[in-house]
Amino acid sequence: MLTLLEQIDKGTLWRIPGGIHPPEHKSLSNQSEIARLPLADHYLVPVPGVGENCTLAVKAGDTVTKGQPLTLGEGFRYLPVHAPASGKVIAIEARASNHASALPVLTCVIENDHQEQWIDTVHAPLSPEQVAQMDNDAIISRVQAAGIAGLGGAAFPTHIKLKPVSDIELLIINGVECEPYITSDDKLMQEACDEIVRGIAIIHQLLGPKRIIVAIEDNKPQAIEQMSHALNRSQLPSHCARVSKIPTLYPSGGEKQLIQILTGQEVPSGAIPANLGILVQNVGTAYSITQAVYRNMPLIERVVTLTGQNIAKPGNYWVPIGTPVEHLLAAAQFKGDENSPVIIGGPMMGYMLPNVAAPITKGTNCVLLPSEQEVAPPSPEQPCIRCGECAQACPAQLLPQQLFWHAKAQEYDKAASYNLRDCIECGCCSYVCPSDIPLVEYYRVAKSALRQEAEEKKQAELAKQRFDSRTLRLEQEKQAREEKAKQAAERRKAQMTGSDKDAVAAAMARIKAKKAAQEQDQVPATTNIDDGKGATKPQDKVAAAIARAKAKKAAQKAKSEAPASTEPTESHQQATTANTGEAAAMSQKDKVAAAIARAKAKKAAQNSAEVSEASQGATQDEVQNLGQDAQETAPLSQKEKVAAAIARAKAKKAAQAESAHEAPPQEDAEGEQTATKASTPNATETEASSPEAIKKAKIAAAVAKAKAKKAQQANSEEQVAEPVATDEQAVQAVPADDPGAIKKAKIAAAVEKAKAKKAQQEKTGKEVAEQAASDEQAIQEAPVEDAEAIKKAKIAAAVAKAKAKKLAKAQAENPNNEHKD
Amino acid sequence: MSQVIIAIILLGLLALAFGALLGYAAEKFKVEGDPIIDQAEALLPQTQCGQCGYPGCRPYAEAIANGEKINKCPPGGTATMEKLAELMGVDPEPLTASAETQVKKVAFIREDECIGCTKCIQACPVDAILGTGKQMHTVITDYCTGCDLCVEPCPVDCIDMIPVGETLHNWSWQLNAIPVVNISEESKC
Amino acid sequence: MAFKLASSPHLSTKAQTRGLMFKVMLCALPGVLAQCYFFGWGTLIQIALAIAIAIATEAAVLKLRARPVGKTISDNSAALTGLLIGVAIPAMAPWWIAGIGVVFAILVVKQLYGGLGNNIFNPAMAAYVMLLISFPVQMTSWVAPSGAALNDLGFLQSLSIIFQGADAEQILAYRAGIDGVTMATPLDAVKTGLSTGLTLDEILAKASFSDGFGIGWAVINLAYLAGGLVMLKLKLIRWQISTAILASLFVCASIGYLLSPDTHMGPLLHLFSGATMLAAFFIATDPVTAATSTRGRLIFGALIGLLVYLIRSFGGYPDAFAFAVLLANLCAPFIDYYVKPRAYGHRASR
Repeated sequence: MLTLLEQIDKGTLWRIPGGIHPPEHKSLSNQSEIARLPLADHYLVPVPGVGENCTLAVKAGDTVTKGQPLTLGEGFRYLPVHAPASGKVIAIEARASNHASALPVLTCVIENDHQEQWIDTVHAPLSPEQVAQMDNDAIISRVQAAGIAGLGGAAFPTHIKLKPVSDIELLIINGVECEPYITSDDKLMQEACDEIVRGIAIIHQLLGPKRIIVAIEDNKPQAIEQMSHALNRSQLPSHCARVSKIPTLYPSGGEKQLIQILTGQEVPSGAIPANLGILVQNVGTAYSITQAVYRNMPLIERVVTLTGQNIAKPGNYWVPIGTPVEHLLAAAQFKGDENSPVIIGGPMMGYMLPNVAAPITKGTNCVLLPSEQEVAPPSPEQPCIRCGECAQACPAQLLPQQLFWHAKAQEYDKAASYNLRDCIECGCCSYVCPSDIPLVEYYRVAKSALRQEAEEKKQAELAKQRFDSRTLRLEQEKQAREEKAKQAAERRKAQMTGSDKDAVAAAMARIKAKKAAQEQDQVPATTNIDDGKGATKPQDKVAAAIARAKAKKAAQKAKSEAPASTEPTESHQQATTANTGEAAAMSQKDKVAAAIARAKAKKAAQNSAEVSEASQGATQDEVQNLGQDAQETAPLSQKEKVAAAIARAKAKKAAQAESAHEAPPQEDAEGEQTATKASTPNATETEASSPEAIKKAKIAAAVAKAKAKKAQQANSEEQVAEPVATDEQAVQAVPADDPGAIKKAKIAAAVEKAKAKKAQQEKTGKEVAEQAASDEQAIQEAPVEDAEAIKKAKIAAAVAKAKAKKLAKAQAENPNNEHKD
Repeated sequence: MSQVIIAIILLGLLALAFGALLGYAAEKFKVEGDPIIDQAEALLPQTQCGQCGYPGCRPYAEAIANGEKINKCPPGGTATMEKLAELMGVDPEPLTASAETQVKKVAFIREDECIGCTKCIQACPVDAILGTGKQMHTVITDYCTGCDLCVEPCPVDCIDMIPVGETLHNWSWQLNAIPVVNISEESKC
Repeated sequence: MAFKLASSPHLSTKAQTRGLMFKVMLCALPGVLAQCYFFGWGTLIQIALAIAIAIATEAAVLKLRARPVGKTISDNSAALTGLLIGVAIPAMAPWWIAGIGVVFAILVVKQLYGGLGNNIFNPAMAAYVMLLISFPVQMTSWVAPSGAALNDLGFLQSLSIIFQGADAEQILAYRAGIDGVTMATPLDAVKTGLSTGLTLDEILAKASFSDGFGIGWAVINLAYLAGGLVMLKLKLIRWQISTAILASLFVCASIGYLLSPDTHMGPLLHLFSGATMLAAFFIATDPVTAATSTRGRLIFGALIGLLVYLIRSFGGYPDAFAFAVLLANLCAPFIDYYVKPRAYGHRASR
């Protein structure tokens, strides 16, 4: 048994299964030298990688030189594109792509100034000795910078292939060109064989393969001769490089098929040739490598075969990449009309171009313009008679008739089980099919459906992972928060020594005592209210009014007890905790979040009487808390405070849940008293406190104001001037030079305004001018020069507007259900 | 009499033997957990959107295993419904949602309107929204499952659900289904 | 763009189902002519009748199924089915035999399964089996004129016999008056002979084999063989099925003959009598109902050969191709499923 290399040296060839012999039609285009066509006025260079691995290096209006890179990118997978001509970038926009779908892609449109001004990095050719001294990285970076992609059609970045993961033993230079009509590689081999061989030598220098085979089909005798001579002339060791003449058979130019012909090995399904130690490069790619390494010349033009009977001047042309196909058609005298097909690539694997404005790309080796005699319009599909000719022709030894059967029935997973993904879409099966079934089209549809399915599966998997980790994270955060809250509460208990705290504690104690009393005898304890009156008179009045309003409301809604309505409050509170937890570092955010949470609690409060109590509890607690904050400021961190507040609110709620049915009015009154009490010292003490404390105070004041407003709405007969006055007091008390505080105030005011609006909608009969006036006041009081604050206020206003809108919608939908928004 | 005893003994032995065999088989081919739930979950699109009325895909999969209807997953579309029907051995039913909701969409935040309230961030079940308080938010399109959950909480209505467009990557070779537009007339060059 | 976008490849062979079917029919011509020579005008009449009914039935069913009639008819598959039924039924069988058979083949076996490409069974053979079971007398009355007597029964006479329902007795009387040749097919004769305890040599020594009757069948088979070879040459069929059938039948028959020459027909007799060549080249190769892969076809053919031998030797019917083909049709999807070729890049271990 000979080793593989010995067999290769002997020139042994293997047979591939299947394959066909379509009419070649190569003489149409291979009669003349590679020529040039007049340059186009506009070039279209697609930049599809922008946003993925690179950014645009130019913008519309820039002047570019020929060969200038249009994108900037990093990473090994990045492949630059270059301006094919000097001129001006007139647009960077979506244009039709050179693709079977012609879907638009981002494209640089370059207006050619016909100056042919090259970028200055391109230099005179180096000598082979100089190139031999370059190190591998330098060569590969030149290849990458030149933007070289496989010119055989697949357009895979060449520099990636030149840095394979495994050792390359065999280098195959693909000059097979088995597709009918195409002669671009054939002509290139005849005319530029030395450059190609130099390119081969560069790859040899990079990878040091044991053998190099230039594979050419036996229908190109001149190319075989030229390449043999060039190899003999070259520096390459003579034992290692040879030209291999392979029998003409379509699709022996396919990478996998060529490997099978030359080595008898099969590339395992899903693997790449490099896994076998084999590298396949197209001759055109070898040529471009030479240009890039010797001259630092980017890949901006390639040989394109223009052929078919619908064109007056068929032949091979050097075409700048980016030339619109319609320009080529005009230059080569296209004879067809707009209904004549334009095929990019050969007749077997090429695709019809729906839009001739699309540009030539790096992978475009042929533009075929066939007459109707050459490529007939597809005849209607007939039923498959399972003749099995397709299976005989299939070079991948698939069962096309089974694939077709399943693909047509859209049983894509079954089609996949018949190895659909190993189909190379060579078209042999469709070619031999007596029933004119467009098999390849079915496979492509099935493949893309499978691809999409896989993509969706991946997406689903990702989504699930992210969902799970999010759930886990929330759970952990919740636990951490609870832990902290517990600690903070303990600490606070320990610190409760100061007189202010004593007062609060006393208030709390009173509330609790009262509750206990209520539970016992259920007697309305009016004396408690009297007790409260002793503290400060105006606030007391307000509190009483509020209490009355609340009581009324509660009475109204007592009938429809909504047990579920506690849930929203709970969730809002959770939201609040989430907010605070997430932004531990940001005190500002904390506050806003707290405000939002409060607002939400309020909203919930409107939903039902039960909830209103609960939320009031929460709110008043927060206010209390804030009051405390204002007084103590330093020792506790923001977050802890908020957490403590929440904890307390919860405790309160629990307490309320117990005594919910028993005499809510008293409790409300008590709560309000406490709240007002808490806020009043704030207002008075702010001047002495730190700016932070001032902020707190303001927020508290705002909340108080909001409550007052609500009370006013609930019972318009009540006197409201006082609370507003208190608010005004609070606002005025703030030093005007504290922009942060002002901002806060504004936000608070805006939130309040929003609520007011809502309330207005709910209770249309109420007088709202007053509120509006006070809002205006609040806003006017802020220093006008604080642009930021104004913006914030505006945003707040926007929020309010949005809410109002939503509410209006809800009302329109269900006038009776006005609290649901 | 002895025949009867022999018969009884024989039958008893047989019963023992088969019992042992069955017991062994039950042990050997034991199935861990309820694979139906896992299978059903694998079929669901994992958008975690809750449109089925369950708080996520796993709960819905569990519900399906317990006899819940299979047609409550709009993001999965008819294909998912059919697969579920096959899995559960029930007849396919038309989806509860309209066809319009079955188009794959992703969320898009109109960034100049975003006020940075973080509400959408909290609503997103897959953490696909990036941003922080008072800062503009944006959607990481690759992670977005199109569940719609962020739209409702937005206080300024700045989130749109945009259908995923056709690109060169997801184009499905529906050759003559493409509405062929003659772009050359519209373009300027 | 107004042109219809088409996926690659944009080239196609000129081969069309229509042409394929037509060429197959042409290749059957030598066999048909040989049959005419030995059985008289009746064969041609039956073929013409069967083809006409086949096309008419197909057209009617397509109309009912709201499918394009003209285009589907022109694929010639119905005509080919008609032809095969025409050559398979006895030349002097009454016209309704052909009628029932063809209608059954086209309507039930082919169109009810979804038309061309979707039928499980070979329509012609399914119809033949149906007729054979339902009308055994008419289906086995191979009134066999000797070579010399070809023109004894004129075209019009044949026509009148087929259409006016002259019963077999009359024909027999008529025929007997002319040359007195028995009318059983050689396979029939062997079967009957063997069952009456005669050895093969004795049977073969009987008059029916000596004076050209057996020769007649052999000639017909040779003619079909020639047609089949032409088909192979034109690549209308692939070699695997036919070769496998003949080889398998030959091997089985040889073994049987070697074991017991007195009670088993020799391999040559097997190969050149009955419907062997017709079935091997024209019937079993029907791609729709056969296995599709190379190895699958070999197995499919070998299976038919084996079944034919078994039924001929041990079954109740003298000839067995119809049964064997139908049984193999049943196995074809199974065979296809298990003998998938190893696709490129997939290692042999599976």
